[in-house]
Amino acid sequence: MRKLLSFLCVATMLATCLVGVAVAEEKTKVVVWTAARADYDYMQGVIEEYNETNTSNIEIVYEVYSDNYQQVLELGFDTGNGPDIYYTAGPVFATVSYTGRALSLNDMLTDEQYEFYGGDSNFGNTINMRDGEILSLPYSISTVRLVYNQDIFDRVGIEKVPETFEEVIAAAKLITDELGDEGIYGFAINLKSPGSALGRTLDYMMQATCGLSNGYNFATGRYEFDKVTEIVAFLGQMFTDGSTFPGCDQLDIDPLRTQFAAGRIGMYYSYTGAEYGVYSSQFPTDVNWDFGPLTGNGTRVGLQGADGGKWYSINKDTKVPEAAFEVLTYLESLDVLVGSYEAGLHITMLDSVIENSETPTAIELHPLMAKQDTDSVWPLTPTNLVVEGESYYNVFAGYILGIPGYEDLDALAADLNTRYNAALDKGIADGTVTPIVYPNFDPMNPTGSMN
Amino acid sequence: MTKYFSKGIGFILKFVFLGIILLFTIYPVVYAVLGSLKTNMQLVLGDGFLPKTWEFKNYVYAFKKLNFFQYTYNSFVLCIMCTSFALVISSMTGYCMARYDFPLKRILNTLYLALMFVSLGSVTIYPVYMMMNSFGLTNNLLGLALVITGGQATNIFLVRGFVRSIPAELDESAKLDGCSKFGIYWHIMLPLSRPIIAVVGLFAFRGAWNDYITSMVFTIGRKSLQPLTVAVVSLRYSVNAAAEWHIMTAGATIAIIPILIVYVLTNKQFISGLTAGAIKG
Amino acid sequence: MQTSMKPNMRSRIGTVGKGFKENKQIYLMILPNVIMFALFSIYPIGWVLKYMFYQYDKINDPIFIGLDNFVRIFTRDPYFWKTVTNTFYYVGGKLLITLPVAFVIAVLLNKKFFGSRLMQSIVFMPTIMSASVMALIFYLILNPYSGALNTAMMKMNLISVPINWLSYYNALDTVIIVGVWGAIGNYMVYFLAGLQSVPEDIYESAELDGIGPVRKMFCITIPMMTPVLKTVVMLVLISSFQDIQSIMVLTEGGPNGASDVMFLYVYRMFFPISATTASTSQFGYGAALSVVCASLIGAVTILYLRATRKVDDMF
Repeated sequence: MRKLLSFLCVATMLATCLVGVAVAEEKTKVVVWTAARADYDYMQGVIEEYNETNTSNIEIVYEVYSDNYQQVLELGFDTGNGPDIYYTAGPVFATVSYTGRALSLNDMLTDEQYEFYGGDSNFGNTINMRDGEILSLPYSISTVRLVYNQDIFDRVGIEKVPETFEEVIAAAKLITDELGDEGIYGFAINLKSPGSALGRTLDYMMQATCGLSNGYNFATGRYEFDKVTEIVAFLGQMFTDGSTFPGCDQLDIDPLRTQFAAGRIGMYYSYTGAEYGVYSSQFPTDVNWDFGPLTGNGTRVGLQGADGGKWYSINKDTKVPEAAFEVLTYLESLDVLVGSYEAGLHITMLDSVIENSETPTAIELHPLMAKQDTDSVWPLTPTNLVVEGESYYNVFAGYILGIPGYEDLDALAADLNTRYNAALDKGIADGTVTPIVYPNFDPMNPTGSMN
Repeated sequence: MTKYFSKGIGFILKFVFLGIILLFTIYPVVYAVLGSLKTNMQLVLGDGFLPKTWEFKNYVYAFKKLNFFQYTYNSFVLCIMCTSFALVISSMTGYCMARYDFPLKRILNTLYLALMFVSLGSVTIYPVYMMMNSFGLTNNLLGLALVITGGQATNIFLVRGFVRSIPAELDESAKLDGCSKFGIYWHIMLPLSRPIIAVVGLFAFRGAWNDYITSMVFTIGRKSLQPLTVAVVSLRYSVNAAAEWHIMTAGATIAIIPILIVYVLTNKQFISGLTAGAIKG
Repeated sequence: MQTSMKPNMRSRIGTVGKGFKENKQIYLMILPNVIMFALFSIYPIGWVLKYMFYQYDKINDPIFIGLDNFVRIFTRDPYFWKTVTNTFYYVGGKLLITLPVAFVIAVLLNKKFFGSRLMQSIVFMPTIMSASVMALIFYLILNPYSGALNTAMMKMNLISVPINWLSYYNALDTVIIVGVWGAIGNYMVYFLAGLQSVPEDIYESAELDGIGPVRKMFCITIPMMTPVLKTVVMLVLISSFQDIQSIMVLTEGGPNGASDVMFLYVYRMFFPISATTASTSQFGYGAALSVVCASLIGAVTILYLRATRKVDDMF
């Protein structure tokens, strides 16, 4: 017995020592955190090449956190263990970089680099800047399109890619009616995570069809969810018709993609920046698929949003700002960007890159992958709201899935308006939310009318 | 005649019922093991019970490319640390509580009892995390082990109950021989408390091996520190933009096997440990 | 050396108030535990009790708002009370299923026959595995389209259309079953121990009186086991309230809160689970919620203890 206890004590000490050993590094380490998964293999190659050939004695440590990326980042910052460079596309920009964590790049960015990254047209307040300070550099642009299975369309006789809500509903119904016995369904959406599912459908559609962003109207400074009910009804209609893949309420995006790759889904919505990579390397498929335009109601009110203009930011508390900046500009250098663009991993928004690249196979095969004139970056909506009760994603998902208690769409929208506007007002009064109002906002020219 | 008939029916019913229960219990484990030998497509598309091709390379992939050696090592280190801490702390404290009266005793006793039933859930993880950070213990397994070990109230009661059953005459004769209090603990109590020590150790090991939420939060920024449970679940959103379910089942199997082995070897102690708590409680 | 399990009257050696030096060894020996306890049990409770009066998201400083969090809980948060109902349904369902089944298994496996030991071990096995890892496996099995359960049931012609096990209507029930899966073995063992503690002579005299097996069960076995039963039920109660790991992995609260339980809701206040949307943590509100949850559990425990005292009087 005593021997066992002594043994355990020794083992503990040994284990602690082994675990706590820190090897002294001579190179300057720059830690990069990212949430991007699809380009992992490519980036590994890029990083290794840099580590082996760079002359500034820098070593890049590249880590991917696709699960809970925002929590990882925030915890890291809170405890002083944050990375030097961090991925800031998507909602992370608003909550992390814009709120003061990012280092201003103004002093380090040369004029030449500024032009390389697109000049005035690619930089704007709340897009990658705050009050004149540049916080992030443009990289790629990604927006949402309809993803459809051409083989299934051929089989049921759909000749033209559906563009309006009615056309999509009809197409989905047709597919399910004809091919439902074989286990092939017209439409699918990953409603296990309402934020992810509606984030790639409702959010973009409401920009194009209603001129709102996240339900917020920049011109009036109010939330107006009653205007988006048409879109929600469209999504719900397909469930009522029975044209959807069974079990959408517990379908995650990756299982959805697996089923699509197996030829069991006719249509779904997803990002231009992701799907090509998924179907070329992760889920190689024989399915003949393509992108179609984002569905609308026939009248365009605003440009469709696109996530772009920001990619990496530098941590304000980094101990190695110059090294970090060098790594940052390397990761967003012409060669790296051209490489990822040509491989179809990202859709670049930089003309300087497009001019120097061959049109990637991806874009030749799927023309709608490239940025269209109807795509544009949109400014940020008010952040840091403490909304009491469920978010609009959950509420609308409840309606779409036909869950009891969520049947009255108009009442749901009115309640959302009340709660979101109350949170907005309270936050402004508290000082925790910055009001964002652009009286002259024009949804057809989002970045140019932010005043 | 009817007596034998009804006995026969009873016999059949009994075995049917047991059979269903056994199937229910063991099926997910078998499924996980078999699933780990299928390809991802076969697993996700539900293509048959037995693997079509026996993909042992899933395990090679998990260990080599996905770093599972590191995760398994982390789990073992974490568990050994937690078990040691739990044993040392609960045995010493349980012994003192059972044998001696001292000024703090009553307060401690009440506090332990009270807080055993108060559970604030995962709320406590955040303040503990911040506190550990101020000690500089957030980026290593030692900090996590300390957090998982925690207050040890239940184990202390277990040890205390057991020590109470050891006659005090032993202590007195040892004292007469010039033994210090710690000496009594070391030379007499520990050897005699082997059964309860085994139980405490086993439960500490199991608790640490299977811990998920606390481990996840404390290793959230450092992939290389993650134990097996966290690593396996995080495979759901793995690096390759598409959940690798076949690797996940392989990971799950890897996570199950060590604890299964420990269980098979120490079956009796687990069971007696549970009952010691129940009957005495 | 025989050590009896009965409490020994001469088991304590007092050193009351003998001064610090006498007790020095004792204090040193309990010091590690006192430190751990203070750090990991007392400090978090203090933190929670402080911040439940604040509004605390991580970006701005905490703002003192007094009792507003509690006002919100009791007047403006119907979702929380839905999770409370779900939690009680979950605990109740788990109790109602686990206890009888575990009891029957214990009775059946109590008599030693060939393989009974092995069967006991198999039934006990789920309790030693990680709940979150096994929940992942269940997620695969329960997949409506190509999961093993639906394919098996369709092959056996039990159902013709795949059942969506984790839909809004089924999620909570399914989660209960998964919880039962993990718990049966645990309670079977308690019951086995309890069964074995019933003295043989009572059964013998009953048999002499000619009492059949069913009456034996209800009039002798169960009443004799009430102490064990009491403890077991209390253990099930307290631990089931905190069962969030498998739910978190299986449904993350289910379609629109169908399988959301109170502690999972609290967890999300601290670590919002969200894929593409920016979400704010609400630490102050989470702290207030957790205090309400803990009080609810405390109330249930007290009610339970009162009720079992009445049962004691009956026997």
